[in-house]
Formats: sequence, structure tokens, C-alpha cells
Amino acid sequence: MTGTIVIYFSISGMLVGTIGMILSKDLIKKILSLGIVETSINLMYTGISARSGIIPPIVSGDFSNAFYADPIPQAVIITGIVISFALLCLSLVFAIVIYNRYHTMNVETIEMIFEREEQ
Amino acid sequence: MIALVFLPVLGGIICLVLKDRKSVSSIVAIVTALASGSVLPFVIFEDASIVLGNWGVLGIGLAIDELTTPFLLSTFIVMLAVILNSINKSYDGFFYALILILYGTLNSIFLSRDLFNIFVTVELASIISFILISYEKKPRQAWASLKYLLLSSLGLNFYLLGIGIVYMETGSFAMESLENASTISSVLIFGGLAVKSGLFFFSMWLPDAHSNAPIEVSPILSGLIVKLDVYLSIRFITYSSFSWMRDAYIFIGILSAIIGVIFAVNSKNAKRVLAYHTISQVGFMLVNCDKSSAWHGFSHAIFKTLLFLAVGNISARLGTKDYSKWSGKISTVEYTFLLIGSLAISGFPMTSGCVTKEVIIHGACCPSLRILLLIASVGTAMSFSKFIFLRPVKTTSWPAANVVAAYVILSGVIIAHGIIGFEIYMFESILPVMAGIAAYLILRRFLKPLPTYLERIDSSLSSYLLFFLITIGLAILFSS
Repeated sequence: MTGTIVIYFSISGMLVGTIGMILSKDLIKKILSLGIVETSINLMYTGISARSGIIPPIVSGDFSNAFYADPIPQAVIITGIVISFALLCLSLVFAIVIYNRYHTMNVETIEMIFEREEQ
Repeated sequence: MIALVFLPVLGGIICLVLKDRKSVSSIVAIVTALASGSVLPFVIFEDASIVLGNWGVLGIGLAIDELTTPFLLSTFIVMLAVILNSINKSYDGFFYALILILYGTLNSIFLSRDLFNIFVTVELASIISFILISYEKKPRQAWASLKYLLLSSLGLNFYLLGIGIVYMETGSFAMESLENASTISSVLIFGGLAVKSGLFFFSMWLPDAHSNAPIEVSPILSGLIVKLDVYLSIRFITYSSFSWMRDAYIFIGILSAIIGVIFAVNSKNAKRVLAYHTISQVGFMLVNCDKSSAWHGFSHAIFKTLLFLAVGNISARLGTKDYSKWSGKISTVEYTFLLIGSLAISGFPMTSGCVTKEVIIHGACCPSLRILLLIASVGTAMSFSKFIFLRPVKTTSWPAANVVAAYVILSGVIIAHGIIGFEIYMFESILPVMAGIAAYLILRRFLKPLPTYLERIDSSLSSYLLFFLITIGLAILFSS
């Protein structure tokens, strides 16, 4: 039950992040929207593992009737969290490089400057 | 088999330790590339599979079979040529470390049979390629790289959602569990990877990133990183939950093959011409999604590497990417290798492009599709006539020995593949080449660069998401 709610919640968070990436004109806001998408996916993996219960998988004694959380999605998504951290850092570095040169974060202005440079 | 992944990463770590000694790290890079290449003859001739760790179904499976072979071979040859071309330039040990770790990562993607492991390795390859694109630290490169990063990581999050649903349904991340997965998970996996595929409308970041990357990085992006999605599509399409994709790919692939060629014919920038041709050739591969497209991926990686290296070296020497200003300034040696690459991509007989492209055109399912593929093929020859009609000058000065060695290896593979795979019916492929050259001579006055509106960040995001929705529609249509 809890798991299903978490899964639906995280998928709606993913949609919100995707819409934010399209609609915002600010580079930093685009990167933060990507962060929302990544966090929602990480939340969804917690939801997947909680489908048969939310008790931590530390087993002692008789556990044939226990509803314990599935450890595998939790284990694999740690790698996903590290990757999303690395991607956020890298994108902010690129944003700094662009800001130092053009002193703006508006994507339309930046692209206009680039198109003028090419001609 | 593990040596294919382990050796390059080890070499990369050694390069990272010896970062400040430029000459040593380039030697380490060549030795590592040759060593991992010498492993290939021992493993590619027989199917084998192992499972890492002692955890039964939870372990990560590695396997090698006939689909993997062309990709492993092309990775080795492209990496060797790129490292040879980069000697005696200003690259330090960090560059070689990135290249070698990327080599190991690519090998591990082609060997892996675990969906989550594929996600991790694809993300690692992407992160390394983002750093490599902006290696010269120009703002233009940082912008191309950032655009690629935003689109690609959004797409890979959809992939992660897809494999999460596969795990929910089957309880395993092994690739065999795709057999019992639902259509919605296969749509998410396809749509997530399509952003890296180089198909038109799905990955409009591509022309910007490929044309602005440094000389040695463009061949890797175009020959290997784009092939990840081609390889994974060919692999996944054999599972029953992906059977809708074969029909969808005929539409998407032919669209991409023709529109990519139209943009390439009109472009004035030599590196952008090659980037648009990547879009078009990926369309060719995915129309006929089976073993023949894997071999077209191999030959495309080789001749595109030759073209990107030749064009990159010429434009770095002359200081302009506009090919119309090259006439009368390039030497005969450079022109010869440019000619071999151009003829191979147009599908001239006795080159590797002809062998693999003819198999794809003859394997097309219906006559109308074959005609559309022939039109795209004529367009390819038409846009490469630009390079064929350049005027070389006779000079005694040769390019540097290592650059010539890279060219000779690549063109040797192109011609050897073309002669070994040649069959007599392939002589008819001379017709589209001739038609393309004639069309270029007639139409060359009307060619103007097309607007790049679709390549802006907002429009590329919207076109990706729009075509993602269209794919969901196609999947519902074809799977019912």
C-alpha cells in the first residue's frame, strides 16, 4: 500500500521535473528540474522495494511470515544516487564556464549570442 | 573476457598516476590499446558466458556472441587510430586516462547482460564523453556538452523508470527477464535510450556536440557512443516485449535517414556535414534491425573515424571548417584518404560501406522502403561529392608519421572488408553513387545552410518528448 502511493507520487514528481525543464528559461532552473527528476526516480526505487513491507531487511529468528523490504533495488539505486550527484556537479561546472564568458543564465540570450558568433 | 574491461581501465589508472609525463602516457595508451586488442582473437570466435559473483540469478552476467563481435572490433580499431592521431599534441595524461577508461567502459557495455549494469556503464560513458567534448574549455564546447548532458540524463532517467517496472514485474534485472515484461516498460527503455541514438527528432543535440568537439573526440562520439543505442536496440528487439519496435523503427529510421541527408547536403561546415551523416546512417542501421545493421555499425565506425580525423586535421591546419575554402590548399596524401572515406560512406564498390549498405538495402521488407533507402543513398553520394571535387596540390611535405599510420590502418580495414565481403551483384551500387555526383553538379548552386532552429535546447527537448509520446502511440498501435 505505502509502496504504491510512493510509486505514483514519484512518477508525478518526474512529470513535474520534465515540464520544468521545458518551460523555464533559466539555466540553473533547468539543472534543478533535472535534479527533481533524478530524486523522483530514486524515490521510486524505494517504493519498488517496499511493495512487500517496509521493515528493514535485518533478519533474526523466524522470518517466514515477516513482510520485509526488498534489499536489491535499494542497493542498486545507491549507484544511481552517486551518478546523479556527479551529473549535477558537472552541469553546474559547465554553467559556470558559460556564465564567466557571457554573464547571463538565460538560454535564449546565450543561443542568440552563439548564432551571431557563427555568422 | 574480463581482460577486455580490466586492461584498459588499468592502463587508464597508470596514465592518471603519470599525469605530468606526456610522452610516457601516450606510450602507455598505445601499449594498452594493443594489449586489449590482442585479447580479441582469443574470445570473439566462440560464444561464451560467465556470471560474476556467487549469487546465482542476482549476479551480473557477461556474454559474448556474434552480435557483440563487430562492436568490440570497431571499438579497438577506432581507439587505436584516435590514440595514434593524438600523439605529439598538447594532450596530457588525463586525456589518455579518460580515453582508456572509456574504452573499458564501452567493452563492458557490449559484454554485459544485466539491465542495471548497462545503465551504470552507459552513464559512465556519457559522463566521460561530456568531459571530453569540452576538453579545450571553450564556451561553445561547454554549451554543446551541457545541452547533451541535460537531454541525455533526462532520457536515461526514463530508462531507469523502465527497468524499475521490469524489476517490479519479474523480480530480476537480468536481460532475459525482458521476455516477460510489459509493453510500457519496453517503450520507456526504448525512449530513454533513443535520446543517445542519434535519430533525427530524438537527439537534436548531436550536430552541435559532434561538430564542436576536439579532433580526436568527434570520431569516438560518432563511431562508438552513438552505437550504444544501435547495439542495445539490436539486442533488445529479439525479446518478445519489444516486437512492436521492428515496425516502429522502419518509420523512425527511414525518416531519420532522409532528413539527415537533406540537412547534410545543404551544410557548408565540413564537420557539420559529417555530424548530419551520422544521423542519416543511424537511420539506415535501424531500418533493418538485425545482424546486418551491426556490421553496418562496424563499417560506419571505421569510415566515419577516417573522415573525422582527416577533416579535423585539415581544418585545424587551415583554420577554417568551410570546405569550399579548402580547394587548392590540401595535399595529395590528405586528399587520397578523404577520397577513400567519401567513397566508402557513399557505398562505392570494393569498400566496406558498399558491402554492408547493399545488404541492408536488399534486406528491406518492401519495394517502397527500398526506393526510399536508395534516395537516401543518392543523397549521401551527393553530399560527399563536395569532398570528391576538392582540388589537391602537389607538395612534397607529408603529414606526421603517426597521423599517416592512423589513416593507413583505417583505410586498410575499409578496403580489406570491401574486398572480402564483395559479391558480384554489388556492382549495381555504382549507380546511386553516379546519380549522386551528377545531382551535385546540377544542384550545387542552390545549396544553402538550413535553419538550425530544431537544435536549440528548448526545441530539442520538446521534439524529443513529442516523439517519445508518438512512440508510445505507435507501440499501442503495433502491439495490439
